[in-house]
Amino acid sequence: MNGERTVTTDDDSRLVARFLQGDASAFDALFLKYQDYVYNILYGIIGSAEEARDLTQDVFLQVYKSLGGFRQGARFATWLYRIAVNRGVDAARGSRRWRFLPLLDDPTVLGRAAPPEGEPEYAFERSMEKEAVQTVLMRCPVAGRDILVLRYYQGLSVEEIAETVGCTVAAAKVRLHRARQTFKENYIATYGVDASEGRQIGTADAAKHTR
Amino acid sequence: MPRNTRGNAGMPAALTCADVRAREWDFVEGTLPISERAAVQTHLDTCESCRKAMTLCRSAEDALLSASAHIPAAGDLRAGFYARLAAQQRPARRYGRPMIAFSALAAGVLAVALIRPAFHTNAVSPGPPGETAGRSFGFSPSVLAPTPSLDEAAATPHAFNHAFGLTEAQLDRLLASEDVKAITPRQHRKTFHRPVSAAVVAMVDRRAMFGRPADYNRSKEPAAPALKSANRADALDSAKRDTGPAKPITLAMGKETFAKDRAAGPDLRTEKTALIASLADRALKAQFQDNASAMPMDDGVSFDVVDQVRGFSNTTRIASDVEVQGEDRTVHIEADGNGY
Repeated sequence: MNGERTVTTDDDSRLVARFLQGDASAFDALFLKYQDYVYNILYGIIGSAEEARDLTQDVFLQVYKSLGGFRQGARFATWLYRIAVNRGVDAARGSRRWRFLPLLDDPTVLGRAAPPEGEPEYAFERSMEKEAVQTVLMRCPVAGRDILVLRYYQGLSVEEIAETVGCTVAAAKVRLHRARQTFKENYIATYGVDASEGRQIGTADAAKHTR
Repeated sequence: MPRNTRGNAGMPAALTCADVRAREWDFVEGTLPISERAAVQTHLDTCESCRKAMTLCRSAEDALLSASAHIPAAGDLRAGFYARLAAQQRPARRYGRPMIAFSALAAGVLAVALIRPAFHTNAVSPGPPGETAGRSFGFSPSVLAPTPSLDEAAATPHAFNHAFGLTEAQLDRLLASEDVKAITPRQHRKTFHRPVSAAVVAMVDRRAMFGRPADYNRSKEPAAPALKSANRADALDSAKRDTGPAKPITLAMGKETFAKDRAAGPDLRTEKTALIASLADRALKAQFQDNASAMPMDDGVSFDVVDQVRGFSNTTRIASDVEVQGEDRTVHIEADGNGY
């Protein structure tokens, strides 16, 4: 992943430079390239595809306006992700969706009510298997959710996370650890014994995970 | 990585349960050094509870790793983006026929207003002008500023500005400020929503209708009169005091003061919203006064007024409906939002 990014970083700064010189197609290229990444971050933090799409456009509007202030030499992707994370976190904190966030012991969490009208894909997502992680994620504090999203949805290394959220690598490690712990606790609280059923840690299993 | 020095040569050191728990994520991720991995494994072989904990840890990790595969597809968002970009770069005036902007504060308010074509005459206002806005639109007077009547406003060159609580210069700066640009329209799915920023529309409409006072002179412009309503007066205070180029009505939340401002969030939002609401409110009245022919506007317009001042994203959905009975027009304004 690192190698790949080094190559594209160069591309990005060239695109940014071209955009700043008035080439609209350069921005289009950046948008096309990064929209899924930005969307994934926002979806992970917000938990709603609809809103994530909306906010993705917001983020790019902001980028469009403030690209002039982008420090050449910084990595465009990092800068973009940071904007996306901030936007997502702000939205998650300020959103009225707070009202609909179930409490940890809310019995309706698992037997969720009917999906919003006219959104078949939403209903599809609702199936337990697919929803599981996002549901648990939505119960984690926003402050940890962003880290988990960067790590697992975006596949960033700890170093890249540190750069994106603007902290030291050590701090990123601590935050990641804490976020994972919280996730695990919520995961267990939600799915209880089921989470670990049928799985045993043995030599074979451990070996499988040796990389 | 130094060898584990705690163990005897060739033998991994015995780890305590706490040691193992501290390493469980690294173990599960496979990032633990080989020597430590062996030690952890040795411990797991003999410790039931750590084994269980590790299993949970692994399922959580697996769940997280598999999660990104289940994200619903984004689709190509460029079309929507360009539409919104165009909407932002276009003057708000162009959004169509007489633009009526509403804003309301309380959640679930159903307000009914009786409006006559001769709205601006004082005869319509049974009480002091200040109370009219609050009552007739169901806005809480404690949040909305007293409204000088439009007659009063028309009496002097600058009075209309003052009815808005703004001087021309402040309006100029407000129109140019990032703060207003940040109030972006938000399209809402399925329902037809006009992309409208209430404050911008109110002010641009105001300018379009009344223009600048003919004798506008920035240096001689009188200050806007003091407003009595606490919230809005506070919101505007900074604007009045501000003589510099930036932030007239900026309830600014710069990055560095973010935490502090967040603590003060609700008030800032109230003030900001009160301002938007009162501007929209007056634009509405001005429209009715000037564009009686445009009535009725029974098109069930509904807006999302989204206040996105650096991190505060609030949606107030407002639906309007007009009933006409002879000379009287009844405007129903329904606001459904988070009440800020």
